[in-house]
Amino acid sequence: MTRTGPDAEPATVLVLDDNDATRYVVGSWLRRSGHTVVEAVDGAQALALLERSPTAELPELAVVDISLPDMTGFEVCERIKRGPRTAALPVVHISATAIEASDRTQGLHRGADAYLTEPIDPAELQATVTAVLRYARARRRAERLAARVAALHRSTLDLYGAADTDALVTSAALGAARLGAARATAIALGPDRDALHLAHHGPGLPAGQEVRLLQAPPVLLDVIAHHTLGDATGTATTLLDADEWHGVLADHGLDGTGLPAGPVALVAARTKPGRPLLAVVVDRNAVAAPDERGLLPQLTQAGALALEAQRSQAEEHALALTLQRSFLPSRLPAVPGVDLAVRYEPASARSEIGGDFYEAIDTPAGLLLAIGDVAGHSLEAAMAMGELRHALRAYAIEGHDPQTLLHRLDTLLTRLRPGLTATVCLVLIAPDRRSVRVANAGHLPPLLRLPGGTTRYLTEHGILLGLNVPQPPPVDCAVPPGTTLLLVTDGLIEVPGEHLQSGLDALRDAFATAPAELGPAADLLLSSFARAQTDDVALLLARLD
Amino acid sequence: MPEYALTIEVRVHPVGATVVVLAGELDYHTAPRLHRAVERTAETLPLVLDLTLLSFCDSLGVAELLFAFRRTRIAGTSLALVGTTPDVGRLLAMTGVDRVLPCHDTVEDAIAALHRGG
Repeated sequence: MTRTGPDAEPATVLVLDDNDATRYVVGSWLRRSGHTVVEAVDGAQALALLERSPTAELPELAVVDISLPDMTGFEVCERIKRGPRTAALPVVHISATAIEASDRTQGLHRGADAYLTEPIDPAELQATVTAVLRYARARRRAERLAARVAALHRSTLDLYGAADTDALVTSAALGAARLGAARATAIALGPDRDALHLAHHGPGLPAGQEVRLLQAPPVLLDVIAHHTLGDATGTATTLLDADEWHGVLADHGLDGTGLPAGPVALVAARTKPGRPLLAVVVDRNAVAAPDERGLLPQLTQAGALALEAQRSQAEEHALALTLQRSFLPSRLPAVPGVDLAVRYEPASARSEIGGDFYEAIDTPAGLLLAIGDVAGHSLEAAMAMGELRHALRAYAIEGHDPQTLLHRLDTLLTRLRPGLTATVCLVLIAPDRRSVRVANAGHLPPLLRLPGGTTRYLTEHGILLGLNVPQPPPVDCAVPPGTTLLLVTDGLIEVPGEHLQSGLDALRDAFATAPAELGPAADLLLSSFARAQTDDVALLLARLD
Repeated sequence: MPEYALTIEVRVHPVGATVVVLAGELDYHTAPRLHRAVERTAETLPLVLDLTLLSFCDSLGVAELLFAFRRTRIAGTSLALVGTTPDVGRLLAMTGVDRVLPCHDTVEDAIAALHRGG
C-alpha cells in the first residue's frame, strides 16, 4: 500500500450506520489510519450533515450501510450523487447481512464506488478507502485542471480582445485570478512608454469592482525583469519570500502599492528582443500545484503576445497617419480676396489609412483648388494619393488647364498604379474671382453657396481617373462676390446603408445655414456629418470676396 | 445560419457567360469578397453583374465593379451590368462609370448585348 503523495493524505470520512457496534468498529479502523471520522445513524441525519457542511469541509468519502431505519443505503447514495456539491463524493457500501450478488450489483449500478460485505476485513476496508480516495482525488484534480485550462482559454480570448493597455492588464489580472491566485497584479508599459499600467485583483476591493487600476514608474518592470527574464525572450517564473520581495521593492524606492505583499511568484513574458515585458505578480501559493504550474506562464505569454499585437497595430497606425499627413499640404497659399479653410479627419483609430487629399495651388491662371480620393484603405492608396498630389502641383505650375491636368493625372495613375482608381475635382478660380472653371473626374460635385444663401451643386463631370478614358471640357460658372465653395470627399456623407442622394441633400441643406465664417462652418459640417465614419474625410472651403 | 450583408451567387449561363448576382450591401466590408468571387470566374467568358438586389454601394464597391471591368477588358471579353437601383445608378453616374459600364434591364438583354458586341 502506497502511503506517499497527495492522494494518500488522510481524509474526513462520513460513516453512516445505525448499528452502534459496526459504526464504532469501522470508525476506529479509519481513525487508526489517520482519517477524521464523522458519524451518522440514519439517512436523514447523514444528508443533513452533508447539507450544512461548508464545501471546503465536506467529507471526502462516505461509508454507507445498506440497511438503515429511514431509507436504504442505495437511496442515500443516489441522493448524494444527485446533489451538485456532493456529486463527486465517493460512496463505499457496507452490508452487515449476508446478501445476494444482485444487491452488490444494484449498489454499484446506483452510483456506489465500492461494496464490502460482512465479515469486513480491516485491511480490505483500509485498502478500499485508499483506492477510492486516490481515484476521487485524481478525478478532482483532473476536473480542476480542465476547468483551469478552459479558464486560460477564455482569458486568452479576453487578452486579444483588449482595446488598450488598461483592458489588457485587467484581463491578465482576472485571468490569473481564474487560475487560482487570490491576489494578482498584471503590469505592462503603456503606449506612451512613460508609465506602467497595473491592474490589481485581490481581497478588499469594493463590491462589484474586479480590479483596481493604477500606475507605477517604469523602474518596477526593470526590477521584475532583473529577477526573471533579464533581456531574454520567452517566459520565466521566480519565487520570492515576503522579506526578499519587500527588500527588492525597497531597494528601488517602490512602496509596493497595488502589488501582492506576501511570498510572491513573479511571472514575466517577452515576445521579441528589446520589447518591454508583461509581468504578473501573484501570491506564491498560486503556483504550488504541480499540474497547474505551467498555466500562469502560458497566460502571461498570451498577454505578452496580445500586448505586442496592440503595440504594432498602434505603431503602424501612427506611422500611416504621419505618412498621410506628410502627403497633405502643410500650408495653404495666401491669395488676396480668397479665404480658405481645410479639414482632414482620418478614419476612426482602428481603421486603416485612407487615400483622401486636398490641395490649393497658386497658378498663373488663378488659384487652383483640388480634392480627391484614391479608392481603398491601404498604404498603396495613400502612396498613390501622395503621388497624384505632387504630380498635380508640378503640372499645375506649368500652367495647364484643368482638363489637361486631369488627362495627365489619368495617364500617370494608369501607368504607375494600374488597378487603382481615383476621383479628383479641380476648381480654378479666375484671378478676378468672378468665375470658376470646374473639371470633375467622377468626384462628388462641388457645392456653391451664393451670398443670398441659395446653394447648388455643380454637377457637370467626367469619369474617374485610372481607366484611361478622355475627360469632357471643363465648365465655367460665374460667381458673385461673397460666394462660398465647398469641396468634400465621400467619407463625409457616406453612411453605410443610406442613399447617396439623401447624403448630398442633407449636406446642401446644412451648408445653406452654416456660419459665414469658414472655420466654424468647417467644424460644424464635420461634427454633424462625419460621425462614426469608416472612411477618412477631407473638406475644403473657399470664400471669394 | 450566418448572416451576410452581401450575398454573391455565381452561375454560368448556357449561352456562354458568367452571371454574378449580388444582393445586399457592397462596401468596405464586403467588397473584398466580390473581388475574390470575380477572380475565380472563367477569364474566357463575358461577365454579367446582376445588381437588381444590391441595395447599397460605396466608392470601394465601384472600385470592385471597375476591377471586374478591367479584368474582362484585359481578357478580351466584356462586362455588362443588370438592373441598377436608382441609388447605385446615381453613384455610377456621378463617378462617370455609367459611360463605360452599360446597364441592361434583364440578364437576357445583357447577354444578348454582350454577344452582339463581342
